[in-house]
Amino acid sequence: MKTWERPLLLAAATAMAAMALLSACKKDDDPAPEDRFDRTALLSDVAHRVIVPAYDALALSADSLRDAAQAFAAAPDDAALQALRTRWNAARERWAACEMFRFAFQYEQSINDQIASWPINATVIEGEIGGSGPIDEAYITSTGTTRKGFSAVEYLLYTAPDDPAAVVAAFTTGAHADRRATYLVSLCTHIAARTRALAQAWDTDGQNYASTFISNTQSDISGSLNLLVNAWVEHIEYTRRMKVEIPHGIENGGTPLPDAVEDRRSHRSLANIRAGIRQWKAILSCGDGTGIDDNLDAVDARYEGSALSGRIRAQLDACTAACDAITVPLDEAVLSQPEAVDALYLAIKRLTVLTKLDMASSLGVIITFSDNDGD
Amino acid sequence: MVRALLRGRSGIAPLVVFRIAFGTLMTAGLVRFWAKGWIEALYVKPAFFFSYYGFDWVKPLGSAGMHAVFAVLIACTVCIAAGLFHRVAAIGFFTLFTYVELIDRTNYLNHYYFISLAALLLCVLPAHRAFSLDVRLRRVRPAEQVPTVLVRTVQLQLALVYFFAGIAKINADWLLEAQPLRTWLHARADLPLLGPWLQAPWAAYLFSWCGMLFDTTIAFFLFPRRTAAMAYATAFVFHALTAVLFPGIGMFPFIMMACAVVFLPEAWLRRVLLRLGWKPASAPAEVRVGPALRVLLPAYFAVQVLLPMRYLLYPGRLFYNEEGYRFSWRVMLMEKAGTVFFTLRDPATGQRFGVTNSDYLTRQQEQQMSTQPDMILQFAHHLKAVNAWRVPDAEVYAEAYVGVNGHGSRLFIDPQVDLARQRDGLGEKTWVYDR
Repeated sequence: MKTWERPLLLAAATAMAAMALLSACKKDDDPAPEDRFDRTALLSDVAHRVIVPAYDALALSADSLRDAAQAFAAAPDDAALQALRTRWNAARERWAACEMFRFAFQYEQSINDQIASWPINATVIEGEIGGSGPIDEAYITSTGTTRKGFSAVEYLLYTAPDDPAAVVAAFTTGAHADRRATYLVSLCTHIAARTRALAQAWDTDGQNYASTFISNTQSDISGSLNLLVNAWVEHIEYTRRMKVEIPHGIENGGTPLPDAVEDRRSHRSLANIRAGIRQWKAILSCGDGTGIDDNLDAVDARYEGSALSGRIRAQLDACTAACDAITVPLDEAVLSQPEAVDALYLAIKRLTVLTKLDMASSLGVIITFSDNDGD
Repeated sequence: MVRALLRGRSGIAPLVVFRIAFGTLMTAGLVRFWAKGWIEALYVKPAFFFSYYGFDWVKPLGSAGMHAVFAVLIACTVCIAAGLFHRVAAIGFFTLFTYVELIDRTNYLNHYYFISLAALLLCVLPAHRAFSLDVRLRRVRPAEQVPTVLVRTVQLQLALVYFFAGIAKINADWLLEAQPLRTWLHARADLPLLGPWLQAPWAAYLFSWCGMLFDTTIAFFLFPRRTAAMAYATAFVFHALTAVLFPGIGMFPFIMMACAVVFLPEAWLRRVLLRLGWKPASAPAEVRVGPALRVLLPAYFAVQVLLPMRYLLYPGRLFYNEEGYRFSWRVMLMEKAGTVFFTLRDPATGQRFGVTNSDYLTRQQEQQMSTQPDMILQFAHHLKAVNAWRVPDAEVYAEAYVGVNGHGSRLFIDPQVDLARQRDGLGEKTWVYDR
């Protein structure tokens, strides 16, 4: 052995030993607090400032939707319909703010499908109403997803979008008016029950999923930060494709598809996209709490020289502005304002790159649900 | 000198221990692979497979077929560990494992490549000539001593892995910015005890520099007899640490820990085998290096030395074009994320058709494809083929973004280039922005 070999080897071994020792050191030797980012604080603020309030608000608005549906069914008239539509608009918007919380857990997935499947099948719904089978909440729970949920209610309330009298008539003098009203109430009761279940799953008095979410601080793909970022990116991509890209005709050679616009009967599509964007901003900043932006700043994530958190915030504002620039409902806009729709599409696409690449990379998050080995 | 190398003799114990360790670990690895449902997820579920250049004739065999392949693979590893029908088992394992790896480059991992190479070496090594069922059943004559060069063969293969992995780390990102370790260690802040320290910038620098120094130099300490044991201990700690810090790398640290035992003093390994019940033969046979091996082994190592250096033939930045990236022991070298928006254009009508990649690929495939130009090209050709019914003779354009080691996302493929007209090959991909 050469004379220099032993010292070098000893140095390497000492370095390793030192690191092992460091790891066993006491708390008061911890690095300065500003060097550290508290992931528990992030998850806690996301859970308690964003997710739980969003589910609570959803459940409340679904309750009032059910109440309004019962009132309308008891005495269908223009005013009651208007009140009911307003409640539906509000509840649907609250759902748009919860839509992104898909953390790949079984119960969330199934509830999402139960209340938010889209598009619905109007022919089948009319068949049910015109049939003779029992209609109640139990039946709605057991039936297929294309005949229930928010979109099914929307269909019943906006069958003739611009002719409320015709809608009221369908519930008063139309064929099977009673069954139509029962169907409507059953749908809304079902939505109220399912959204309540979601809220309870997260509530401290219920299954307390919030505390599971907060304590799940590990950094592999089953850790909460990974689930959160993946769910967020997934929802951005879903919004871009299903709500804008397809109706805009991007996938089919440029022919707009107004019928493919979500919530086109109620003309609430843009409002619901906006509600989703608001929730993306909430996840980023968590009000004045610890948000994803603080995590990005803690790792000094930068994009073209400036802070990545600020760049993402600006892009979220650009998405909102692009929504605002569309002055007619989206199903009309894809025909009459294609440039504005294109701008919205490009804004969300830009946001996709910033979140899926820059943000996920900076946080050390893998954008995938597979847990295969890597190197 | 060559003659001396061939004439030199040493005990067979390192080869036997290597065979048993490798076989056992492979059994565990394959059972784990099966149990996690990866056979189905990686080789049955995808509708399209990213074949390697020149190997597009390699196809998967369907659910029953792939499970049968893995069943045979597991049987082979058990036979290798037990030293039963060694030659057949080793050849069978090498062939089937390499076949599985060639199906889809989505699944390329450096340690899978290493497994193929180690299996290939096992095919020609007399690792079954002691403490094996083949000896017990008198299928082969037992041996005590083997040509030293055969032990060196395994050692040299391992040394090359370490050395090139170390050389690859000598780059500005790794040494000057401590990337990607800075990002990855920060994400591991949840670890007990070690966690808080990992967020400090100096930790990333310490790990980066130690990692580079360890990889480039460890082989030089593993070879000399007097430092071998201490070097192995260092390697063991190093791999254990990577296993704790980066559970995502799966079997890799364990494979290296197990295989590097061939560097330990022969006498130690012999003692281990004796304790395990090895009864050395009273009249051992002579093992020689055949004429074929005398040619093949140098040729093999020439390839092993040249392959990791082939990237020098390509202009542009390797982390972007990845020309010469695979089969070069570039392990945990970069944090790279990408996303690609493909558009088909009908040349007759000028109509454009946006594509959603997940309609055609699994998540794993999409993730891998998005960062690797050769896979992007292959997918572009696939898109043209499967959409021919609605867009005849389509042009295919990619708006591809990639982010490497925290440098920010950037466009990295010329969006004006019709990828359907670009041929795959070993030449430079001029349509990659890699300057």
